Amino acid sequence: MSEPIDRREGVRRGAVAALALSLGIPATALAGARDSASRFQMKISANDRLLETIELGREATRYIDGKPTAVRIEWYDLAADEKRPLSRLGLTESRQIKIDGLDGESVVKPG
Amino acid sequence: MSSPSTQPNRTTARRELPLSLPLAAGAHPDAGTREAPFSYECGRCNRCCRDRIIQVNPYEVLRLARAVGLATGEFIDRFIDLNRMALRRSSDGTCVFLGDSGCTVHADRPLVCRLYPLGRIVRGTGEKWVLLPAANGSEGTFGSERSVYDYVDAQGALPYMRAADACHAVLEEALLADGAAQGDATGDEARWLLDADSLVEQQGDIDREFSAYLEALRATLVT
Repeated sequence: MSEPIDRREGVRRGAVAALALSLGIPATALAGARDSASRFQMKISANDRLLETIELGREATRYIDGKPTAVRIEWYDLAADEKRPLSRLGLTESRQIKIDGLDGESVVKPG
Repeated sequence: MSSPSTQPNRTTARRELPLSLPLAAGAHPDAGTREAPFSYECGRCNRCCRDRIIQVNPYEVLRLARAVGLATGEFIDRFIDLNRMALRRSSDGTCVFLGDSGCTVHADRPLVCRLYPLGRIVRGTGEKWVLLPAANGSEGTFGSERSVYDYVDAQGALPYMRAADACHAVLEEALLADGAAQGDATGDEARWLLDADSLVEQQGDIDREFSAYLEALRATLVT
């Protein structure tokens, strides 16, 4: 009996992710924002220059208008003794940005 | 061979970037306001129209669909890569709307194309502007005669910025509702999102239709 509701909810979640992507926000960033609250920090850089540091949470839903360019996104665990990119900490793929087959990299509406 | 002194030196032009804007870097996080000195003259080389992923939001799809005389659904089928929420590209990597004489939808081009070579970073509390890395071989020239605001206004970017901000507001409301956004969207969900004509009636006025679309979107996504 609950199938229609579940199905509608599934569409809604997918549409939220699609809306985020249309604004240049990878769905994985949104998932990370929800799961990790302010514990994690995301750094976005292009051409090896730091573009922005984002404390995750609602702030992670910001977007960047401009010509798309390849950028590197690194997640840092602020609770760890040593701030290391999460991609080196063996976390699950869901916590890593992985789009276009580029591990640790993503394409966002740039910066 | 021409004398170097009489030829435009593009390397020099690149070095004369207005210093008040960070070059896609966070060195001056408070720099790059709308008042920052900036000017840019497009060299019409179309370098920025190739090898780019032009992601489009619902407003941009609506504008582009009307520009080519299609309903949004048919436009999506023909021109949108739903996996990336982006315009399709030709086999040579150029934008699908790039023609022999330049952009064929220039009057309704997406926001990113209007802002280039600027990037706008949006936060809950405001925005900041950065210079993007120039496309390889770009023939555009930079200056500081006017301001960032003058540039984006002259490019007709302001309505697009307001539309993107409105979409972003709905997104934030949806996330605040329960934070549901895990996983990637399927093609069906992406298509549903972008197909404004399937959600609201065509009203002969893009702004009015987009307002109605936003309300329909909010009613569905914000529970």
